[in-house]
Amino acid sequence: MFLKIENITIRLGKFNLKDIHLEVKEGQYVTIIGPSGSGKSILLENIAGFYTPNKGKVYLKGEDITYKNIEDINISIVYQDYVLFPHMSVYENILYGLKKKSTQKADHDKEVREIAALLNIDHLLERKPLTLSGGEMQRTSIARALVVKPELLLMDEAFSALDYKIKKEMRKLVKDVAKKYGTTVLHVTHDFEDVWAMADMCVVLRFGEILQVGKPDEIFAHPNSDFVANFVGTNIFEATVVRKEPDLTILKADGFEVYSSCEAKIGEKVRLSIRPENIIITTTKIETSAKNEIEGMIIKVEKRGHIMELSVQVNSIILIVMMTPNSYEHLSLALHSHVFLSFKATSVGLY
Amino acid sequence: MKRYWFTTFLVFLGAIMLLFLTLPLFKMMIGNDPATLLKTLKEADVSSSIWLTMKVSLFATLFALVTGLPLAYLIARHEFIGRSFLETLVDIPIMIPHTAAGIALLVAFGHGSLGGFFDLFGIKFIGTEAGIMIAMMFLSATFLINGAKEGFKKVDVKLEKVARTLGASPIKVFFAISLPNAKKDIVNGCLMMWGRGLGEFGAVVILVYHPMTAPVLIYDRFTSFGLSYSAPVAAVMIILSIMVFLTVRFVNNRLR
Repeated sequence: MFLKIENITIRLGKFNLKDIHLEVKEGQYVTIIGPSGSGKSILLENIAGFYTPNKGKVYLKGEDITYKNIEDINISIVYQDYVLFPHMSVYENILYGLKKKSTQKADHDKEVREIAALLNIDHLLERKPLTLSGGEMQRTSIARALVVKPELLLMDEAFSALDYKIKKEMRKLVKDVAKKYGTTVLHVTHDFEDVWAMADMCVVLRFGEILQVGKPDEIFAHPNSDFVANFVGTNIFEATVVRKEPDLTILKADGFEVYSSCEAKIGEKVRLSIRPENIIITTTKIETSAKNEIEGMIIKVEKRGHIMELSVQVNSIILIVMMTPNSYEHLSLALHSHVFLSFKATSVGLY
Repeated sequence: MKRYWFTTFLVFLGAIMLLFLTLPLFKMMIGNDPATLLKTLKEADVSSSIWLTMKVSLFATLFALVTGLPLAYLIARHEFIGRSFLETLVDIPIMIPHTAAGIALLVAFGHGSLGGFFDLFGIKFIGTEAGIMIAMMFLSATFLINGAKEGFKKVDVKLEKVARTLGASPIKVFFAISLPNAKKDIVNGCLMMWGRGLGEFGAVVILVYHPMTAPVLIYDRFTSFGLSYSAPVAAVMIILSIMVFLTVRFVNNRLR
């Protein structure tokens, strides 16, 4: 395994990182999500060597790096607030790690200019960090981290301070550059768009514990606990398995049936999860391949930027559904409208 | 005017304090004609005492820089049991009467085992420049240490962390990242210590009367010959100190 975090425990007064176990393959892009204070940044800084764990080991390419000198581990870190050396130019910032880590001076200039061009900051090399915009500073910070060709890149909410447009550009840029250099990335984020756009694997952390590890689809569509479901904004409700059909499990919720492609035993009480964006809303019954169709009433409408969030009551259960304002208008929806919700059996998770 | 009554009130009270602080110095500078000041400066005992004061205060500052800077960095960067106690220890010397500090230094370095130890290397503290230096250092190193400590605290610890991940050892990080970014406060701390050292009298006079530092010379002339004989020396000392102080501060403020 490329990176193996083996049962790491760190006690820091009131906060503890508890028995963290995580395995990451080479070249994977891993996002770590969780509420504030869940220990995401401490986990990253522990991998970099800034904390000595009370228990457990960290292995990079099979080598135990738990107690290794920080400067001898080939890991780079990028922080939210860029952390550029203010007394150095952009060029000197990028060059700093190269001078420390590599002995072949001849190529340094070429390498700095190459990565600067890749990150579109080649015209800023003589500038001091304070004269740069947020996006330019973050590009410089990423260039500085990547130019030393780290085996592992750690990003601590690296895009949080950037505006929407720059953030979108940076996602593509970092993903492309990481791919080009074959860099494995661990990216702590609060933004689910980072997860969707970049992650091969996602880790959910709370109170210093890993709650779930999986592909983003799995985490968002099949959360393994109420906390993860609520955190990632997935609809959850209780249901009982009433019968089975080939490849299908049929559950009874509050007065309606739901088809799921997940496995469960007859009579078992389970939690059922459906992503809001996987639910289609219509005003009349429609013929679709979706196995599930239930009737409800809109009880709340909220506009969230370019998305409408509707709360639809089905008996005692409230489901959140997302749609665009255009579709909302096109369907002539309003508060108290009666609607039909359709979703595929494969969109229904059980835990 | 009604809208700004509070600011006006602050300006009024602040002006009283500013006047109080600057008036004696201003009066001293304009109260002596330039010819008298130049003549005073040319007197051998005056010029040598001023040179001695400035030189020894500089040495005290340099010594405190080498030993106080690591202490300031430790306090600023590390959480440890007894840190507040250590900070209090650093602050204590500026709170005790200077003559009492002089007596304490005399007891510690003048006689006994510590005095004997330094004596082995030919270093004596009674009536020597080394004595002036420890007196100045004891009462003014706090300014340098606290200045540097505040400077280091202002340097984002993440700058140091990033530098470590980029392959720099802790000592390289200290010299290449922490020090350059805290230099403004460190230089200010040095300046405060040096300036404070120039004016040290109480502790110096107990350890070393001769060779005379400028404050001791001023006191000596005042008690032996009166105000008219000591005032020009005081004026020269004030003018020179202010000139050096303003020059260093101006240069430091231009540093990034």
